[in-house]
Amino acid sequence: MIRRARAGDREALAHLWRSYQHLLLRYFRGKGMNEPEDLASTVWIEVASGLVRFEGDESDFRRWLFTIAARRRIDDIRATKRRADRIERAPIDERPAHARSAGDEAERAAGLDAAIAMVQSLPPDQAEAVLLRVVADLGVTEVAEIMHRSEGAVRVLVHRGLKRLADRLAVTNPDAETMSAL
Amino acid sequence: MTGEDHDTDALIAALTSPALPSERVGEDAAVTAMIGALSSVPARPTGHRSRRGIAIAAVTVASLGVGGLVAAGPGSFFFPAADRSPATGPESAPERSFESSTSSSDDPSGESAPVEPATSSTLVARIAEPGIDLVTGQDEDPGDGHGDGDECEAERHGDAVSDVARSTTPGPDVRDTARSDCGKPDTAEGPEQSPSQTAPGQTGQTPAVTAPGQTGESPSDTAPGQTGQSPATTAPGQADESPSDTAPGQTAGTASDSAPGQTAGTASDTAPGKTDESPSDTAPGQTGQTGTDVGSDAIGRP
Repeated sequence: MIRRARAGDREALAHLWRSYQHLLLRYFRGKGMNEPEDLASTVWIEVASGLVRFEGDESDFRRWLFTIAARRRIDDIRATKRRADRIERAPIDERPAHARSAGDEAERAAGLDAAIAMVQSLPPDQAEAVLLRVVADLGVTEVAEIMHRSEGAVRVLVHRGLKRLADRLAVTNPDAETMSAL
Repeated sequence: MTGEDHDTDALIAALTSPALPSERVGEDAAVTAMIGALSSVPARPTGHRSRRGIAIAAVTVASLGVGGLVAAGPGSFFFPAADRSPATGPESAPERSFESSTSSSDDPSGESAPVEPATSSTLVARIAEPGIDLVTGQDEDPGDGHGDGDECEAERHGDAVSDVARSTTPGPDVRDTARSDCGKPDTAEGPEQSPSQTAPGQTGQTPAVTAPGQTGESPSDTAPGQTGQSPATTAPGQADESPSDTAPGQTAGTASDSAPGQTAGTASDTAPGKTDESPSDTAPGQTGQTGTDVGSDAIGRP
């Protein structure tokens, strides 16, 4: 698939995009980025530009993709800080109306939004580690490379982040709509 | 599994759930942008460029090298071969003689001025031309009485040499006069070329005349009229030191006049028609004397 995508096969590129686009969006949203779609678009453009030089399999591509995503996120944060006009995170309640529509997809969307909101409440390092470890499905070593941390530090961050999420889920209303969606 | 674990698992499941329809919006535009970005990048940016660059560099270097060798080849390769001839001895002599004979066939007159020194043919013709220093490639000074009959008034070559030896101080004049054709009969000019060119197995063996180790086996060695004008006929190391080796008027039996390895006293060493007008040339014991020495000896004698 990657070889075909490198050759410019549209279907292969679409397949890659469909496989990882939603993970990218969740990663950016979990990190509280304001324009996850825009960031994801820049990531895909950079992927397409460097695809001719890429060598590896699917797991390598996944690691490479989220390495680029992490860099773009940092670049976006720096740019936002320079502008000093960073927009505050959109609260869960301001999610699009279609996400609250009836049906399974609406419930899934609501549960996803709730989960992302929970992750956003974590400290940045823990949220980063959890997102890369859970959403991107990367190994501890790969997450450590992306975060420029040791593997032990990544393990600690992931453990503390998940434990804090569990505590908050237990403390908050367990019968809430969000938890039922989960 | 505790309730917290269950909640956490549910949260993780929500995070890793399949893509929602809202997350697939803009697929076509994104793929189109990716194709555009992909097409803007060369397919093999480094590999093809490097190989193409290497190929271009190799072709450039090869053409420059070959062109340079062709341009500088005759001058850079021939003269070292000429310098190498004393060490190699007779082995290098046929090369030079071959080129000399080739030049004689290309330019029988041997007097054509080279227009293109870089070409091998003109270089060979230039080497075969009398008055060209083989080592330096420079024209010898034509004004020192070398071979032109304007100043020649003597009827015999020996007289001319003797006159110069007596009238002037020892120096290049005596040598040049001895080398010149002054006083030689015109008939001697004819057989000058033919023996060396037609002798079996001695095609253009003019360098073999005084080549080290050769014993004067060729009649062409002492062909009449071979006055040593051509540097190619002079053995390496004997170009200027012993002009009397091939000077007309030499008598047989002068071991000092023979080239290294040449057997003195052979009949072939004596040119037909050569006389003994120059006692200095026949004086025994004049081993390795230069033309200047010859001149001084000649002056010192009555």
